[in-house]
Amino acid sequence: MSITQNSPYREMTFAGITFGVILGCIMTMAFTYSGLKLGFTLAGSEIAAILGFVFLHYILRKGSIVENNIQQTIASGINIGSAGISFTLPALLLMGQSFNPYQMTLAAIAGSFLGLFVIIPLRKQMIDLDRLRFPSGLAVATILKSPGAGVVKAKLLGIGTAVSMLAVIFTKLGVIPAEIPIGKFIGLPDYMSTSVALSLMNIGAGLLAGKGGLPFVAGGILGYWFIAPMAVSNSWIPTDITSEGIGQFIYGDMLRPMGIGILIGGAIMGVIMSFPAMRSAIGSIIRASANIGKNQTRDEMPPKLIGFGAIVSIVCLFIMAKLMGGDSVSIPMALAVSVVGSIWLALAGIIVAQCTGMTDISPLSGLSLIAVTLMLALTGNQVIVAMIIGVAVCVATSQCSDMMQDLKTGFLVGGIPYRQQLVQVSVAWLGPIIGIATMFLLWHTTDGTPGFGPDSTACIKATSGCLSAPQAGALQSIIQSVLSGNVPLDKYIAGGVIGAVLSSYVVSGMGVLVGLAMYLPFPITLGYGVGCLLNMYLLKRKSSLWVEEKMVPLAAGLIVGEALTELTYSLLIITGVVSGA
Amino acid sequence: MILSKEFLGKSLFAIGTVIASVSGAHNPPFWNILTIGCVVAVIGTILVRWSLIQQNKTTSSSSASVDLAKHLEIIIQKLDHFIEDAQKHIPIEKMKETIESLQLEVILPVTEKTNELSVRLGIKNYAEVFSPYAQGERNLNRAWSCCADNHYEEMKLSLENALLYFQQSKTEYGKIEQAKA
Repeated sequence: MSITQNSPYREMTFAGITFGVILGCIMTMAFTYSGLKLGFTLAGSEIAAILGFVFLHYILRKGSIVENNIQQTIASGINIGSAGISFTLPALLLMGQSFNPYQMTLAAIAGSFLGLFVIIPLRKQMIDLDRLRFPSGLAVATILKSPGAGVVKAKLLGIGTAVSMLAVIFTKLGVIPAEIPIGKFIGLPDYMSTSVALSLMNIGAGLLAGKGGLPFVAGGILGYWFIAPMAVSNSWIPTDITSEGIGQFIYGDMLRPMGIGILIGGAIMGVIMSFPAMRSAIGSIIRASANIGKNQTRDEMPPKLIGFGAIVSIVCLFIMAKLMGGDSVSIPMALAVSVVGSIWLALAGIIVAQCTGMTDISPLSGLSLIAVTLMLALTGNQVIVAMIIGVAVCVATSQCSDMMQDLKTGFLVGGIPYRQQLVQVSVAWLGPIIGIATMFLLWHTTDGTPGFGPDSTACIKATSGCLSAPQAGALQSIIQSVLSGNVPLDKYIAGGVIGAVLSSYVVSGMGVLVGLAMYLPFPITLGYGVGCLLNMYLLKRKSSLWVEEKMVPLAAGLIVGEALTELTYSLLIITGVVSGA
Repeated sequence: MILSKEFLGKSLFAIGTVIASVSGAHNPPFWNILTIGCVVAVIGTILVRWSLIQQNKTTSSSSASVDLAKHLEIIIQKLDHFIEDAQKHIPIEKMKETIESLQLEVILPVTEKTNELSVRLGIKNYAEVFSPYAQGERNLNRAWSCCADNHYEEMKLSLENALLYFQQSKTEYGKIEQAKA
């Protein structure tokens, strides 16, 4: 390490920015591909932090902690666009809809910027005042700080990483089960889904959340230990559902739609309840921005720039809606689509950022689905126009959670928020361009057959090159069911009312946590709950100091280890080394 | 009496939530029962909030689980010492250890109780105090990173910034206490 004391402290440097951009572009291409092949993308921040550490510290031998923070903010800010693209846009291609890719790219870029301009003013609220934990953000901060954190913490981080890696490998090999079916051991019926998912990343997130995560567990218990048995004992399940299908019916037709409603109602009420603090926090940003001196460091992005950027993004969405909708979309309708879409985008961004902050789990696909449903209703089933907003919302919400997570990391290592915000806004356009270009590259084949999806040659022949695009396939089937009028609107409304009531309680984020628990399968919630309870036990037996010193690096390691192993495993599937079956 | 009101409130909130959720899960939802459940839960919430406000009124600042005025004073004093030490060019490794002890032993126990503090101070007052407090904390985190990166000048600057923000937080808290008196 050779940071000389006379030189300025390294933060926004050419080396860090260049490395972040290159890494982000590579990860976007790889993650778009993995999104089409496997149906999920991976956490880029942890990988970028580790690679940045190697490049800046060991190769250049002059990197600083905050410089690496800037580098990983850039890399993850670019690659996060891949999730938004690969989960939504392929559905249009699978449905045989033709659209202008350049206009769709502009709409995705507008969504990417709008997501950032919506969430940046809420940094103070979510990080400084609500003190959301952002488990992955904390894990990244632990990686960034590891050179100076001492041998014991570094060892614990390494142990956590190794244990988590081994757990994933043994699960993939079938040596240990993916879930522990505790419900079966104590004689509970299958529809109560009482199993603990053995994801150490999930348990690690619970360990970092502690007592604050308990409402999430309570939501799962409410869904699967109260609602499920009540539904079965009162014969609320249709008679044509087989006993094996009861659990799926309760989850898919009762809990999941109501969970989405609770999430939305909870988030709206959460915004209303914290309005005084939000006003004060935003007011302090405006005051600080107005009073900033010539030699003072700016902490937050100027409000005028945020407002201008948001307006330009909304106007861009309006123009794209009109252009892509053609004669079938009038100017007032395009205006309604862009305004309602932007309001929904802002709300979805807040929900996703809160969920990620409290649990590390994001209901991205559910919220994009609502966006598409809302737009289909507003436009009289104009699929292309609805998908413009669907893509914009998916890209925007990904940006919201990533920006907030990186800002949390920045808070913990002492980064200057404005610099992180500036670099992420500067590269927000890159992810959608690379993601969409990669997708079209994979779609077009020399013989004119689809490049991905169930009808592609590779999938028909079941070769290793098959890209089944599972998320897009699911969205396609949902769009088709919406077009046939099958929307559980009553569940969304009932959930919305319950969510609003829950969020008016004294525990902040209650509605969002309960809604998220119902939206997710119960084994995930229970696994997370094990982590929360373990944290509370350790706090009682040891001390908060012990927990911070010993448990936090270990839990961070659990998160990092699973992310790294899943990435390696995905690469092995993509290259055909393992089958992935 | 206060405790029993809080317990009653929590119980009503839980019962109301279960009733509303179960009736909402039915296809189609039982709207009447759902409304009753929501009303019961809201009554529970009101009772809990009421009992917390009463507890706040009866608890003086110094007898609360966190004495914020004293806490802020300790941070400011310690930071003053750190800045003096930094002027004397105390070894950077030693500076890192002292910053770490301030973070873990003084700041951490309070930041774990922010939920309690936001209820006690009221959401607006809490924001006025903890907005600069968090900025101070972030600058202290930066000072730690500078120590780890062996950058003495930036560490000194970050400590001075942290001190300014914690002083601002103390001033804001003083205004709230004055208004209360």
